[in-house]
Amino acid sequence: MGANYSSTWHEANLSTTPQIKRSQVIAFHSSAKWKLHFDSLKDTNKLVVIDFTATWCGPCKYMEPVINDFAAKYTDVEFVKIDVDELADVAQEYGVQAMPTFVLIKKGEVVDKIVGADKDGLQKKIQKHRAIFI
Amino acid sequence: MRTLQASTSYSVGFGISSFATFPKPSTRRCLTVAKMEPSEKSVEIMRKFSEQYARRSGTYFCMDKGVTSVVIKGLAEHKDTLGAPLCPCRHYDDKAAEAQQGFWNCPCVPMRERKECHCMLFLTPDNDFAGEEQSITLEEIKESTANM
Repeated sequence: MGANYSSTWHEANLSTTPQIKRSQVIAFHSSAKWKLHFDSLKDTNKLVVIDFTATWCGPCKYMEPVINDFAAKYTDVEFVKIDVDELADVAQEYGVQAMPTFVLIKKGEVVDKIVGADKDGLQKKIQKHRAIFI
Repeated sequence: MRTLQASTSYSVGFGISSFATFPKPSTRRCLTVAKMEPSEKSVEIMRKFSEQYARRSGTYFCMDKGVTSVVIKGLAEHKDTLGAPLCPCRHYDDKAAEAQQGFWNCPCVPMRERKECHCMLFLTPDNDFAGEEQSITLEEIKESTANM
């Protein structure tokens, strides 16, 4: 768990160009680390998609490969995974009630939100918000 | 770069003494894992309940039985830890209080009143995700959740 976080976060930070070679979904297991990462992204134009998930949430499991595909496709977008039971404070901060909830953030502000296993709906929103700065 | 690499969990596995503070999170991880796997008895109870309720309500399981399996296990886990099959697809400030209150205990009020199951366990035939089955075996559940 910690290994995944460290290596991917490190990779993402190392990259100075918008194209990350091997885009991955970053899973956070500590609120403090998430906060730190969130703050580092505040001043960028990068679209951040947080996937609020839970272990035994069926629709979340359905969306997992979808999100992985999106992460590989939209390399200019950052995909973050947060387990609501692990980081309950972060889930509360974003008013997450049902899972999966996808929160789209830009410059530290929530620009969109989608609840449920709506693959097409999420893709449309990603395309809409990432397109602004391309 | 070296510092970050050193903080990965495999370095802990090799027992590097300078990272003596690491066993704490790994203990927590073990506890989390132990908490996560529901008892077979509860899984079986929730499996049977799901089959019966699908038939009774005229709803169907998801075409992807992996979704069904995960939810049944989630309900079983909540039954084990909270004493009630609280919906595993929602976030609660206080799970115990919520289980006692009952609104989100399966079948939840929205399901009973409007056949709305956000968890995609019980799907009306017009739902894009609905399959054609109202039964699931324990083997199917085990198989589709084996690599979790």
